[in-house]
Amino acid sequence: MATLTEDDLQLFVDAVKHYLKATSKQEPEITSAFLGDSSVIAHEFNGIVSFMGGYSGQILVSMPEGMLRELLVLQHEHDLSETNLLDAVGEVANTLAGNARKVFGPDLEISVPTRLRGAQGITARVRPRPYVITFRWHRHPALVCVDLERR
Amino acid sequence: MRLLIVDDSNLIRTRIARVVESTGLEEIFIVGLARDGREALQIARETRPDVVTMDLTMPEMDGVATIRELMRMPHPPSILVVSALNDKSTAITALRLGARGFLNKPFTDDELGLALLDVCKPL
Amino acid sequence: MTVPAHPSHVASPAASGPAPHSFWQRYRVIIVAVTLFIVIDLGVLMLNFYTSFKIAEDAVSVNLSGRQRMLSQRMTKALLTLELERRDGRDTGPAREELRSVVDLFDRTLHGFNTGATVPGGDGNPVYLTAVADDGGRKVVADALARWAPYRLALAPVLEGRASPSQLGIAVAYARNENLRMLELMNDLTSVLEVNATRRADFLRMVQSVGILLALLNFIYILYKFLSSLRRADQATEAVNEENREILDSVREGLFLLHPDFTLGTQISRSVGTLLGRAPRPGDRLPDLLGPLLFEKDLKDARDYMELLFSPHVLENLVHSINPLSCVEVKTLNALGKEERKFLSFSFNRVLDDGRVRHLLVTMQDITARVALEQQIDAERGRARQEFSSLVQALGADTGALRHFVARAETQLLQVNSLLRSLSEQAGTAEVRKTLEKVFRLVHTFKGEAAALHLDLLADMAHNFEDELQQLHNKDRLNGDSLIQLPLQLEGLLEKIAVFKQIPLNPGTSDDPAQTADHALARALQLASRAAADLGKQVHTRLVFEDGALEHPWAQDPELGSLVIQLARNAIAHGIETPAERSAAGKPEAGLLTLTLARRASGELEIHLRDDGRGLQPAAVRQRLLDLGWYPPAELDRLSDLQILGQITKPGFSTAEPGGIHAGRGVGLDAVLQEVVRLGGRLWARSSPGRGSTFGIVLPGESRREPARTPA
Repeated sequence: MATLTEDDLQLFVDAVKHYLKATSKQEPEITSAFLGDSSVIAHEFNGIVSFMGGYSGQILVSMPEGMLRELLVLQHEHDLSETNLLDAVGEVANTLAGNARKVFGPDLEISVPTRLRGAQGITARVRPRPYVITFRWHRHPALVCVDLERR
Repeated sequence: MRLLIVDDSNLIRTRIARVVESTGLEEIFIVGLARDGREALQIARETRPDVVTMDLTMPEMDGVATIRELMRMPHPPSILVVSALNDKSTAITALRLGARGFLNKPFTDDELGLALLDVCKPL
Repeated sequence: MTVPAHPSHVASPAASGPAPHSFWQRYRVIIVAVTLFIVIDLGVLMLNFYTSFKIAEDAVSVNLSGRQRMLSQRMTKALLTLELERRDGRDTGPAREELRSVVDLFDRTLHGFNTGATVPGGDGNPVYLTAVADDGGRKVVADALARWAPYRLALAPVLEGRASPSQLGIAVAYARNENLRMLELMNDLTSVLEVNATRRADFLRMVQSVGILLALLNFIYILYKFLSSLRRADQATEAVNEENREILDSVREGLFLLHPDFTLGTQISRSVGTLLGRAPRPGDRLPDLLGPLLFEKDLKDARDYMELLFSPHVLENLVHSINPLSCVEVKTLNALGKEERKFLSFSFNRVLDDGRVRHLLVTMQDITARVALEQQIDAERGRARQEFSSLVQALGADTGALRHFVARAETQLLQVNSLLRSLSEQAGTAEVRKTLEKVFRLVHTFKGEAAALHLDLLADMAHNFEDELQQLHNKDRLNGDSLIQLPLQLEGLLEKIAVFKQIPLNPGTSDDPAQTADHALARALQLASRAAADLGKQVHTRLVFEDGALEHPWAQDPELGSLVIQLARNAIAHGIETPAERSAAGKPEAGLLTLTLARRASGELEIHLRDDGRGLQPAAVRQRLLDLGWYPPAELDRLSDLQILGQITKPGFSTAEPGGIHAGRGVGLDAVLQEVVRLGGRLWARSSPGRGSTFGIVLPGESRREPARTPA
């Protein structure tokens, strides 16, 4: 299996960091990086983008409700409905996908983000153990799960 | 064209001989096989070959020394060095002494055949 | 571009001059013009000749017509003299002779004017007198002849000398009458002739002027034609040069011709400068240019090789393989003045002219990317080979030990993962650091076991992992970003272990307890010897099983092997001195490691590893603790030697330089202690300065293994 490089992972991490910094002026802190399995439970709100082409697999951005609410408030959004919270996490995933395209090239096919509500265990798609990177932002935990394979 | 094959490996000697016999190099015929430089010189004095294929690393007397001796003969033969290339300087020395070409081991039958045709050309 | 496969294609600047018929076409205009020039010149010259000749004739005529006037006078004078002589009765002979010659000359000359004749000239030599052609002249001549005929008749008797006085009288009368008239006529003739002569001279001048003018025009025309065709030729040459220059400026390869004295030709592509890091000039010597870039030996080989190509006996296509410059690594300065390492390839092709090698066409290419790719492929191949050899080694290793290793390794690595995962719940830097230390110990143990089984690839990978962890640990502030690489390293190890798991390892083959223990410990000591060689030290090992030890349950446990490895490595890195130090201390150059296993009456297994090295040195440990800054100096001073030595099992302590795969990294004893404690045993040490140390492990009676830990 073709492994991802540290730079590849860094790219996704930077995308999340950049998004949060741009909206809240505060960078999240990376708290851990490890290999994930189904015992790793994600947070309540999830955005998933799938990749085809040079890379295949998916990336999951997972955030708790409190974090998303805070994010929306910081963006002067008063409608804190579930739909809007899901949109917000989908937006982060979307930004991340856009960054990936910039670096991995235009022949990468990237799906529109799928938004999921509900904390679940991580399901590996292409890697036996996807990479999990956890963040902390304003005391809220969040995680990105990179389950990608270079063709 | 009278050909003398010099190589310490029996495998290479028979290989060269087989290529000469099987690839229609009709004007070339083998007059001797030698395992080292000393044997080569002895055979060369008796048979006066026109063409010699020469290994460089051999026991007793190495290729460079042998070429030096061969070039002192009244009608020095046309020499093709056939050797594994582990030292370009040695190969260059061999050619400076008068060898006309270098064929790197391992070689294909065709490479050997074409190289032999080339060294058979008069100067 | 591709380098010509057959240099003979390059080598054909054969005579491709103009075909013979085109010579006429190319130079027709000039040839015509030059011919015309010659014709005009010749024409003018001939006309000149002719006219000059005519003018000379005219001069004779003018001269002689002048002389006629003088003769007419002389004739009259001679006649009168003769008459006087006769009257005086003197001899008339001389006068008559004078008269006769004058009359004769006058007569011949006058007739000459009429019909053309040869007459005596002014100096007495005969000249040809042309007949007067001009109408006016002819009339004068005819008039003169008509008057002269009777005059001549009257003179005849006088000349014969038989003239009567009356006859003489008649002649004198004629003379008196005609002299003046004759003078006038001859005057007229002279005038006419002079006019003619002047006209001719004018004509000559005109002809000459016209001739010169024509010649001049012709010359200008030739000049114009010649210059314009010269200019056209120059323009064509310039166009060719321009194209050459464009090619040489834009071609990516370095191209130039090399003369037999190794100097560069005039046409050098721009890339040569870029590739060499400095722009060469025509006439520079290639060895001088390459000198600073190559090793001396390579440079000599290159020079010899180029010489070979200039030697006619060498067959060009049979020497390409020994080109010493087919791939050379050079360091040059790039446009930013930064040093740049690259790989250059020089190829040399003969340029033949008339069967002789005149030049070598040198083609330079930057093959850095190709070489990098090849190196990458080589590295990958090497890795694949190493992986394969790992497998082979693994298969060759005793399968019991390997089976244990594989089973435990995965557990260990998953444990590492759990630790990494737990980082997210830890707040303080200190806590994070502690977790990283745990990870480090696990990886370190893994490395030791892999090395003991000769699984070099795994040991190397674990070593790299250790490096990363160490760097993280050494940082003042832990940066989350640097954690990202850890799962990648971990995953690499897990993948390799997964491969091993697929190898069928028959558990039945070497379950003989004595053999397993023997093998595992023999391997542990074998690894120790290898470590020694890498550190420049020599070690002999001894393995002693005391009564009953071989049958002890622990003795067949591969975990014991991994403990022994850690201890042995520690002893070699820190205890055993270099051969020189040992000689100086009066010890044999090779150190001795003795591993002793003994079964105690209580059922415990006691393991001693004794070395005959320098022993534990409290002073060195103190200094190290000071360097590490773990304690303030004052507090260090208060600690006893024993307390100081107790620090050596603390995480992060090491007195050896960090580095090689065998070096302790200071977690050797730390890891051993952790493991021993985990196994329910204890660790002790004894040391005698200058004579060596003994590390002892006491393990409980039963092989009480913890169940494999599962990640939380």
